[in-house]
Amino acid sequence: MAVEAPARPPKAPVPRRSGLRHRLAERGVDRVLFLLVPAVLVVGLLFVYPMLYGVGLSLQPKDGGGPLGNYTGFFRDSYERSTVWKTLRLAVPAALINVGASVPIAYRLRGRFRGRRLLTAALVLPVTLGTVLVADGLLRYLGPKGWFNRVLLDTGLADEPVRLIYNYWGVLFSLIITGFPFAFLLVLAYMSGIDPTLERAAATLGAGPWQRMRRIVLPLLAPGLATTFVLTFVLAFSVFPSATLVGEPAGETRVMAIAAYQAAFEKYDYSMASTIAVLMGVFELLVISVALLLRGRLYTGPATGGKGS
Amino acid sequence: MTATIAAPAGRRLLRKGRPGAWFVWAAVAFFLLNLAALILSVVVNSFGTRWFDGWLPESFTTAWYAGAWDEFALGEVLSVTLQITLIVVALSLLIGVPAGYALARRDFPGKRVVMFLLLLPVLLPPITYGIPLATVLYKVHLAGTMTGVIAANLVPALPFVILVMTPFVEQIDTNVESAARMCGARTRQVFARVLVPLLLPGILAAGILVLVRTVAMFELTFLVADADSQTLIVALYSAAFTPGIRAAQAIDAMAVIYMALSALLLLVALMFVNPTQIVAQVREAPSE
Amino acid sequence: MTAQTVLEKDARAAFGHLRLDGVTRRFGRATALSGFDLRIEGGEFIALLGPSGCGKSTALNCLAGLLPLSEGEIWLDGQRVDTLPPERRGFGMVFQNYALFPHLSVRKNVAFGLSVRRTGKAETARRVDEALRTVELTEHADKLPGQLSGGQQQRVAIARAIVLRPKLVLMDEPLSNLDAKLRVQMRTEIRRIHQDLGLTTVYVTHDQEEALALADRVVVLRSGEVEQIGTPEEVYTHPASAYIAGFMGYRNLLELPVLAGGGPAEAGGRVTVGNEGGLVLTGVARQPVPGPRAVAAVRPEDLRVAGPPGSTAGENVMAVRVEVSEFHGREVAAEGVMDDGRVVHFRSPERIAPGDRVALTVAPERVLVFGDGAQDALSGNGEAFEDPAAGTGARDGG
Repeated sequence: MAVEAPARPPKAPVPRRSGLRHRLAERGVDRVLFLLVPAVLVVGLLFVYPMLYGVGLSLQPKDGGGPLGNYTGFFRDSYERSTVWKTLRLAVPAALINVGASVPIAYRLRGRFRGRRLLTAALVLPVTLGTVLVADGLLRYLGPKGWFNRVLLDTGLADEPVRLIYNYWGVLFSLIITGFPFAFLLVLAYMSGIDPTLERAAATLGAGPWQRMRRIVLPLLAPGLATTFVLTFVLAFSVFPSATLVGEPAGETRVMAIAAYQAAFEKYDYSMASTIAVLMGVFELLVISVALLLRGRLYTGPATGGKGS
Repeated sequence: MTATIAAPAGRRLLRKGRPGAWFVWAAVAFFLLNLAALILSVVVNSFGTRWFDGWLPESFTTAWYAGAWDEFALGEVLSVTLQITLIVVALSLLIGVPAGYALARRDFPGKRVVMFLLLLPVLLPPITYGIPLATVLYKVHLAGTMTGVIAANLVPALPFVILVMTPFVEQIDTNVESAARMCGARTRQVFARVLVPLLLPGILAAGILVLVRTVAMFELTFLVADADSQTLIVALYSAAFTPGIRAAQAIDAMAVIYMALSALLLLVALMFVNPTQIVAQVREAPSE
Repeated sequence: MTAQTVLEKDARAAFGHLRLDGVTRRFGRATALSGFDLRIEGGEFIALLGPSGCGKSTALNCLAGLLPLSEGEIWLDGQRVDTLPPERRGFGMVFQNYALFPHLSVRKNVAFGLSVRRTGKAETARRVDEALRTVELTEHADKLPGQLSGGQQQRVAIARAIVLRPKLVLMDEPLSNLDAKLRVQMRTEIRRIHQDLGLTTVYVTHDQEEALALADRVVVLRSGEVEQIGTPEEVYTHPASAYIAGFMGYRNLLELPVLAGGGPAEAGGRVTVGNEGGLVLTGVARQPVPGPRAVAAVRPEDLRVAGPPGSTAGENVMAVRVEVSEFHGREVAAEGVMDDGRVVHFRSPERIAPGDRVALTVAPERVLVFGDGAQDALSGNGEAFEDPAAGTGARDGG
């Protein structure tokens, strides 16, 4: 019987070779990570350091008053404090409208039909316009002598020009025009990720169009909608050019970005400017965290029916 | 023009008799109609001589373009814009693609921290980090220079490239890399002959998106640039912010030039990038 | 076959032997492969066989250089190779999912290794043509991998590996993504190429049929350790453990108390196991049977239907009630249950129906008795080798 037994001849223990490097490699640390170094350096130097510097600066108020002087000052001054509310009052509705309007439109655009690509392109096009251009266009179009008011007056819908610029509405419109295409693009992508056979399956089980939308499409879409909300909110939160150009930068639309800019480049109070910038980040992250927290409670698995697709 | 596109599509769906569709298509048509009118107002105004009252200006001229070109030194501004944008694209790709590769391929302690740090510049409003960054750049005398503007624009562009590239890298089977090594390819050759060709759709997509974003990036450039290092959008803002001094038509002429540049970029983007198609082909190839 | 003789000459002269010395690989705290020793002679076809997670792919990747060793050494004749990166070992590899370069044509895929070595144009063309002819893909040379069928992609992967005339070809479950018919066809193809070119090959598989059909020697791995090394005949007829017997076709593994003949020195001798007054089996001890209990292994085809219960009596007789019977052409594969509830698989040349009661007999030399490992053998019998992950491309051991 010529079966080799599994036994091994005893031999001297093999010395461990390059122990440290091997143990690091097991944890994913090897030379590949050198590729990450330039990126980390750039982000560290141009983002992390300035941010920390800004936080440090914000804790050294120009006028004294302890390290938190700027922060208490900001909240004690009702003119400054109100910028928080003014920013949120613009950014939250804008983001909600953009996401909300995208859903039915993207839903209608799912099927294949002639002109679908063109229509999608037309809806996405304003992404390239940019806030400054949209603001400029709104001034012309919605102005008292612009085409919009002319139509209203000529058709008798209004007796005198409707005031839509240099106030809250102008800024909100500009946020919708620049933000909607972005939200729409994302929602369309999420929507096409949902396996259409799921809806057909629901139909065979007796679900009508509305029930299919509410019980199949929306639950699968919800996490994507939360992500879209976060990203459009980020865009809307940093309103600066439109708030100064089509808004009322001294009153109704004096958002945090304007306050920060004025502190830095009009009053040259970099400490206060950093304070407002930090607070801006804090408030924004607060809203994002709430959205992401809600998202975490939703189903976030695959949106296909089974194996393969 | 754009509004008419909605009509045939709408009709088709209406025939199916969905009541909600009516409302949706009406809203889309309304949005597109206003958008077209908004753009057209700017274009018409830029060609108009005087437009006080009435549907159209009294007569048309191209004089505002020549005026704007000289008055705002648009030749200079355009060349600066182009240089800044291209350098930002090149740098962010050069640094971002390898970083995206490393993040996609390795799980290492502290990876979540790195990912979080990369996500922050994409999530925070540019003003938030733009003001401290501008302060720091003023301190080291880089503000107002092209280097400063490029550095500021890298902050959102680089993480953006990394975040776009990571899923592209993850789609490439590690065995394909191993196979190249087993065929005798060294690291450099694996990159040049296998990874870069396979990542090309992603690299193109990321590059063009950064290009578009950098041209449109107002806040950071505005905070950091001065008259010699400003991009077109900042020049446009400065002109629009001080309307009393400039003729509205000249500002609109500049706006139209900006629009043309954006449209051109979009066209180029659509010519080169149809990422979904190319990516899908690559992904399906190794199996079946 | 002039083309192949060129390849043949180079390959046969490639090396004398390859030696793995205590090759060990750990992933964190888990040991995927521990102290793997193996000597491979030039021109040999070795199959690494085992279920998913047994360490066979780890062993292959260590050989390839794609995974650094935790411990141990690999020697190629007089040269130590485990410290070399994969691109400098000069081995070829065929991956489970083929890993073809999707952006390159078939020809460029095959030529890849030559072009990174900056081989001349004429030489490259000649060798690529040879390789394509060997795998019969000449007319598909300009297609992209995505345009080929699974079997054709497989051939490209093989051509890409052999065109470099590697000292060693490593194959990682190359057939597991093919359908059953194509698998058998490609198996023959791989064996033919091996015989024609004489390339030393290490072949990883979870399919014992493949391993037995292809290999000169089979290495059975289990939980990172070698369980048995031997020729296909040895492994098939003389499995070293109940565990191996379980997937070498000994579908009936019966754990029973030892009645007689047990003892530390009894390997090769007769052992009787069973219950007084119940089932009693006498068989050949495959290893010392020290304990009070042992495992008797019997192939379904070695059980004979002797007739209705009571027609035979004594040892090596099992009385069962038929539960399931499947038509297999010339015979019926049946599953019966004994009175104590044990399930027995057997074959019958005659039709039998569920509910029938029959007596089965087996010759003592056809019963293998294993002393230790009784518990694992029963828990991990046969089924463990139907690798559930194989079809989806998952691989054991990382």
